[in-house]
Amino acid sequence: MTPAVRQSWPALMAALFPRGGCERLLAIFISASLPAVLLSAWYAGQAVAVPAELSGWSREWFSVRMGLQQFLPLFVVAALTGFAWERLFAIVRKRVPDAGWFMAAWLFVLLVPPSTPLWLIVLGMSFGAFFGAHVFGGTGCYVASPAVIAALFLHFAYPSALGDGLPWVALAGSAPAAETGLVAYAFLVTCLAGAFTLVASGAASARTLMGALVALPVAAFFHDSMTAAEHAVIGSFAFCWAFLLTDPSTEALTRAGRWMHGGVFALLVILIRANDPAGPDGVLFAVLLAGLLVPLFDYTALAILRARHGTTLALR
Amino acid sequence: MRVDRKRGLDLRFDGVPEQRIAGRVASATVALQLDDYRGLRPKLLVAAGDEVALGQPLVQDRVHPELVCTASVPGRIKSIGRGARRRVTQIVLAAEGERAEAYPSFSFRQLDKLKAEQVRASLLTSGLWMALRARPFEGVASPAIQPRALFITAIDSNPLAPDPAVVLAQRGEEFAAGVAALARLPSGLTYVCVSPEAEIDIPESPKVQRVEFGGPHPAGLPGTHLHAVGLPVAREPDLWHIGYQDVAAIGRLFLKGKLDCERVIALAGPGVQHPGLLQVRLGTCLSALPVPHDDPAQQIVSGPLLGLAGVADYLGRFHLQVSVFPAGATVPQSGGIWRNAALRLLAAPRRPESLPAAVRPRAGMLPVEVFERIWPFRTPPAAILRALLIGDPDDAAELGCLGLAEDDLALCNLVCPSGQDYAAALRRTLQRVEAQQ
Repeated sequence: MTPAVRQSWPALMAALFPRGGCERLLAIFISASLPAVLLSAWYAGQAVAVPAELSGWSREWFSVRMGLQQFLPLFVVAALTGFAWERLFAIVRKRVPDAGWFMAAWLFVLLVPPSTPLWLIVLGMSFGAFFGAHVFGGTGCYVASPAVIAALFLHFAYPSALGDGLPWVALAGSAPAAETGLVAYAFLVTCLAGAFTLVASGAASARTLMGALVALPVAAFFHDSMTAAEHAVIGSFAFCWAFLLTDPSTEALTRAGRWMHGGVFALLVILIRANDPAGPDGVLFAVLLAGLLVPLFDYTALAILRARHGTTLALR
Repeated sequence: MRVDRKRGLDLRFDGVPEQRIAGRVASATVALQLDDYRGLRPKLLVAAGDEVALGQPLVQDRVHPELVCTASVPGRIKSIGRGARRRVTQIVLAAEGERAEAYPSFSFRQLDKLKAEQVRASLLTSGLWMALRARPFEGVASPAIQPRALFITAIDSNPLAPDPAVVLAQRGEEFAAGVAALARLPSGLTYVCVSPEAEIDIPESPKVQRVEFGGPHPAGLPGTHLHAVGLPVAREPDLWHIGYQDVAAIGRLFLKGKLDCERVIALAGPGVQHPGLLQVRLGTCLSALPVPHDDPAQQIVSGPLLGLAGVADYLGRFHLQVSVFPAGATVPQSGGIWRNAALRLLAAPRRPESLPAAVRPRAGMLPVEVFERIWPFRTPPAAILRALLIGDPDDAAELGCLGLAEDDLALCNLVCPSGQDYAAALRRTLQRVEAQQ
């Protein structure tokens, strides 16, 4: 980074986060996750046979379009459902609606299989919006991401209707590497790029993300069958690590708490993968459980801080 | 002692003032605004139409009667403004005549040997005591308390602010005399906080320490200085601070026996044709300043730009800058992909964000990483900000909110993605802490 860039960096961040600009944060999250979503769409579109007259890049673009054709109806239905709940609660609570519904719908659709029927999308999104977000007070107040709540609700309540389809974000991660030209690693790279965007823009904490990356090899060491790199590319780990673990509402308040949040997330992923044959992915459960533990992490970190510094705010 | 910090934020605005005192502006009316003095319970000593001399007491405190606000200009009382429950809020004076009160004067050498009582008496009778503010709670310093330490803020990191070194260039002796006199007050040290490159002379004394603060805003705020020095904040307001121009005025009071109510302010912002420094009276009428007044597209704000500035008729007591902005101006923003039209359509309708206007929060507090990048203290910003929003006085006090004032949280207000007002939350919490005692 040149000195000029480094100097204008904080000013740029202030410009990205003006007062009352929650949608600016939303835009950062959506654009950061867009490459990963497009890659998933491309991979999902591979199932459709490409017309013979297309060649080169237009073949790949055709696959992306086919994938998005499956994705967009689900997303539109989920977004309409989320928005309806947001408006309803804004009216009841006499508040200005905020943009959190868009984020929840976006992530929720990515966490369910492409073949999910639309009525289940409506049901799941309603459950997630109501019990995941609004009963706690909406964006910034909930304890676990409404997208995760909604996806887990469908997972438990309608396992047969969901079928054995993989969620969008696990598609690429579940592709056998030899067949698909390392699509799983490409997916990991898009998620890493998204995580870097979030950290650089000040939206997500590098400590949370690094905590998971540090804990992953340690935990994988005790889990003999797979290495840390394999754990990272398999299933929905990469996506959930970059975009669900970093949900601003469930972020820990302290620096130490953020390290612990990320670390416990990675430990839980491997613990579930090693011990639960029914849930071979386990990442969503890990996000939920790690998120529920965040207040405990903060409590611990603050207790240590108080013991060390008393009532003095000392400069770093 | 030198403190360098990386965390903070320097915002750039158009209309940067030229750091040269361009001249003096005389105002036909000046106002004493009593809301500037937190904790003061005013009792009126004059009536409308009275003739007053420069330095004559206008208002005294009901709890500490020796605490008085004095006239900053000789003249006549034009009007007295009252607020809720007939509390006096504003006294407007029309300038006329030359009458001025006289005070005892001392030579520079005598200042080191003055008794603290003598310094207190001179400051209280002249009304310059009102320039001292105390933390916690950021109220007027109480004459019943001996301060533990005194912080002289001779650095200003606010955007578009005057440069203290330029303002003090011609008044070095008076500033040094003011520091020497004020150093008699605290039981501990007097810290003169300056920026590293500033050429400001400070008297050699074991009770006076020069502290240099480098880095972006809030390097120039008393809250930052207080915590850098690392004194624990007590429940009693015994950590005092005072601005550099008031110190120079105190120096003149002790050296010449005259009350100095002139201050140098920066008149700046995109709406000013020739942004620069001007010498004005305390509480000067803003309509006397050379700015376009009848243009409804421009708004004139008094005070530091980050979060605190407000549209006003008269200059605030502690304000050293007046800025002119187009009405509805926003904090400078870069364009680019984040302002994607589609996303703006999807988002809820937004109000125009003008600089001083408060925005209603739409979401709960989001503890995003950007708070860490502007927070100069060691405590976790998200934890203390959330404690403030909850309004839990014990939690917030343990995390260190007692050492803070509204200006320390102005940057947090600026970068908060959900538009929370942490400065207002801090004041609410501090009031609860005060009420507990």
